Amino acid sequence: MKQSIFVSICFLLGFGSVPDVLANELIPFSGSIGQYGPRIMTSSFEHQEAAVRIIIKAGALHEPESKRGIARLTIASVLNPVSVKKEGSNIYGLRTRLQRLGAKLEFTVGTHATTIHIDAPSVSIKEAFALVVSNLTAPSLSEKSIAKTLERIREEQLIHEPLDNYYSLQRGLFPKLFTNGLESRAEIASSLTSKDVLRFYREKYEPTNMIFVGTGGITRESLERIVKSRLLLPMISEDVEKAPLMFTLTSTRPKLPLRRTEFGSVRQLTWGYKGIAIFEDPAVCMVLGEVFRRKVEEVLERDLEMNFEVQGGYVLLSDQGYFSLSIRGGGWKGVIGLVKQTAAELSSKIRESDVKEALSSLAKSRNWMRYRPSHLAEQLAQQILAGRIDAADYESLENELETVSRSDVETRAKELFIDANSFVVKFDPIQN
Amino acid sequence: MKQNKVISHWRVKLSCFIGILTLAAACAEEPTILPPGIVGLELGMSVNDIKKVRGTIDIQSSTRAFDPVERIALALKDDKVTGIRIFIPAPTSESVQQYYATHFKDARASKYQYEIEGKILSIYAVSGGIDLLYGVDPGGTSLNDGPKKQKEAQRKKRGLNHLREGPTLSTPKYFPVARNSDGITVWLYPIGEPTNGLANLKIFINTGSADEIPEEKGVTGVVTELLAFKLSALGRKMSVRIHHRVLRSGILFSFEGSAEDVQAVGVEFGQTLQSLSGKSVSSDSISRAFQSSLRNTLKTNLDHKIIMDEGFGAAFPETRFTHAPVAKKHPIPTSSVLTERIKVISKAGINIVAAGSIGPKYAVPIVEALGVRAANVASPLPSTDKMKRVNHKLTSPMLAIDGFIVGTSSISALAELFVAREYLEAKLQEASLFSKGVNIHSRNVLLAGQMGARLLMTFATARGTRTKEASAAIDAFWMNLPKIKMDDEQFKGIRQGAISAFSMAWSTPAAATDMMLKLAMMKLSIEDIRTLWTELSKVQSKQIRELLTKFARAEQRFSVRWGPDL
Repeated sequence: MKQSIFVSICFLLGFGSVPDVLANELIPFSGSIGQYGPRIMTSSFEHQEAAVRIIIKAGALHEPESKRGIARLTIASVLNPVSVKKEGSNIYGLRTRLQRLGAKLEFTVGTHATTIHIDAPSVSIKEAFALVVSNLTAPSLSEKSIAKTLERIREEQLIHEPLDNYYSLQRGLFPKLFTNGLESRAEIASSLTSKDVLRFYREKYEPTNMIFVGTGGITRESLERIVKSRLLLPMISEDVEKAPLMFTLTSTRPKLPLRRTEFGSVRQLTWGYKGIAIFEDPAVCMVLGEVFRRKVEEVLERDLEMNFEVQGGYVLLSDQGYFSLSIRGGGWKGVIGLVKQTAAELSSKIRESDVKEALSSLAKSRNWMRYRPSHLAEQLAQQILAGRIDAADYESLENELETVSRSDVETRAKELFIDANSFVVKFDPIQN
Repeated sequence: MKQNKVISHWRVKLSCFIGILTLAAACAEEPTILPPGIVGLELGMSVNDIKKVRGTIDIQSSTRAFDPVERIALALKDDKVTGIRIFIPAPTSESVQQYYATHFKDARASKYQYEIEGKILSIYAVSGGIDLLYGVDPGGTSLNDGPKKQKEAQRKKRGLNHLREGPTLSTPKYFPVARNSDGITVWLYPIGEPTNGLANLKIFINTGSADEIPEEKGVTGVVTELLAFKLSALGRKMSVRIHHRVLRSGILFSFEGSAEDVQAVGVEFGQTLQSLSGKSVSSDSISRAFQSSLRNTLKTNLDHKIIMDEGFGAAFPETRFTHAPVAKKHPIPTSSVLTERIKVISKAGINIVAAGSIGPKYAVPIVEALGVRAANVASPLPSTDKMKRVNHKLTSPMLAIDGFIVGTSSISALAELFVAREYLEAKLQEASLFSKGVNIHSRNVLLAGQMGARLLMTFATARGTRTKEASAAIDAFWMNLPKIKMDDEQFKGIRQGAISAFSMAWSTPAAATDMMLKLAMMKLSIEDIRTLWTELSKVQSKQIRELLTKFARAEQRFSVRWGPDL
């Protein structure tokens, strides 16, 4: 028992793991490294965990038509899970080394960018991040490894947890780029070669195309230092003309539910309205999105007497803001009608109490972020992709939220919640 | 006996070493908030046990989360108690200072005498905090040496200077506290001060789909949906995230939001459950709840967190664990069947685990709302003889679950499993199944508990259609596992990884409640958690080899495959 008394004293001398920061302390720092260097954004606070997102503007929309899948193949090759221990040495592959650091590494290929997600304990985040940046700078790309990676991703059939509203919306808007399951094989061009990978890597993986986001237990200084010392890619001048995006966004009009089979996914319906001139008043749109989400969930549960989980609200994509909801659970009969009806009701009248509740809910969810560096990083990354890259954007948003009034929200709803704006219905039934 | 002494000696040394590391870490990090946590009585040490050591009860507290006055008063009621020792780190927060100023008057004076129930409590200020001392001085703790110096001296003394300081955390900062009453076990784990910040509450009712009679399969899912439905409006109003699951061994509800809101939803949960047992439910409602439950059925949603339950059930065909909670083939329960099941559920034992910005009385109103319950009786495990290799044909990517069950009550064996989990994870990475023509998409090694047993299992998904090759490669991996050479340096890294993972599990409220629930399902006590922590760093590579040699054999393993060409 002696030791337990002593250890107990020592435990008490160990100080808190979860920081007690105020919500407005989450307003990030943003800046760039050098004149032509990558942008960085950090929101550091004391936490046992840290999250880093590396956004590379090399998404599915940057792919030439004949090279469909090249973005995915490139990132998969760069972060190639070579895990074999080399004979007679202690050198392990990237994944194994990250694992030893307790770090998780994932990547997502979106429409406008490829995002690398790194989540690690604060004590090892620097090492993990440095490893990934080094790999980005000098990936071990060989013809053989690329061929293997290609073979692997051709066979991919994803078993994933239900998509969150953000990705589900992207996929809803660009169904051709984001088919999944068995169909994915057809989505990767047959002509991809290692030369294509190298070309895409050289063109897109350059510092000006990258944005680094760090949250939780990683400081701006550490992040900057690592990027400066490890990112050895040439920092080109901004004068160089960039290739334009290969696609322009076309939103789809409402249509019958699109049926798709996704093994392991729960049923999910994504429904929403695209915004107009959304950058003018994001705070009002955020509140309207939250009112919309809460109202739809409430109406569905009340009228259909079943549990529903409704995610989403106001979602910013690169081109537009959307009021997008992902609905799970319950049955489907009558759901679409009720969502439309709720939107119509909101466009005619919004109650003071709804706005109040939505504001309180937004504040609570912001408070929740303090404990989740990973979620905060995700949110910052999404905002960055939508062009909100300056810390000032967040600060003004915080301030504007306090001034949002019922009439502002109602005016927006009248303007936006009209049939012509409704954009997508997606239906992911489970496999029988 | 001699061996025990040796172990105990080692424990002391090791604990001191760990303690000093913590101390060093704490001092280096510039404390910003005070750590809560009570050890001693609350950790289940009996008064007699403590008396044996020093005649001192060690109650430690730092914030008003744990009312020291209340604790002291409790301890003083025991006539056998000869001493109390409370250690309070220097109060930095104003609210905490205020608290002590009220209760201990000028607690920061170098010495202060305080009278409780006729006994005199002496308060001494010591370096780094305030020492409240009553009775016998436990002594032995010198805080004068600088932490770095102490750490260095200890390392040198123990010949540990060569050890790489891994990127791991030293210890979990605090340990949970427990209460037991009327069939309800409560584990609380305060993180930070009880300031109505974030909290996570999980309520686990100890009766699940495995306890249903065959003709009434699915009824537990229906009750769960009804409960969830009744809570959703309040949850939305308070912005509390509510999740629910039906597992084979129980029903799990999880609430996350600000501490007070979560508490209110917890109370509402208790009241709803009690009121449900008193009235009949319409067949319409039952039918809707059944449909909802069907959509949440495990097989359609291979959630990593509950895959353990799925794997466990699948490994035991033709037992009551076989079935998914609800399936299409199950009949929609009648009102009377439902009422009977609700009665059982409303009297079943409950585990409450809560973490976050909470105080010691956090769960009291929830416990009251839940009412008196039957003692929590562990359901018997299915015999491992019934464990089988199962293949399910599905037109889907391949999914494999492999693992073994260890039935042991030894905490050191559990520590081995924690390390073995990390070891398997690393070896799976190294095995590079892809290079052998098998496309493994993801691998997880899970350590889980079910009805007192500890399970270690891998969960792998293989993409592509080469299911047979993938299956064979995974089998080969398990077969060769005991033969794999273990490099000492790598093993140390793996062990550190296990310690780190264990520490990290206490960092956020949701992670902490997950861990507590996992341990509760293994039927551990709070005291075991502390032991487990110290045991983790003692695990040797030889033990892992022996463990894998014993359990990784084909006849000991369970293996479930879902895939298109099995």
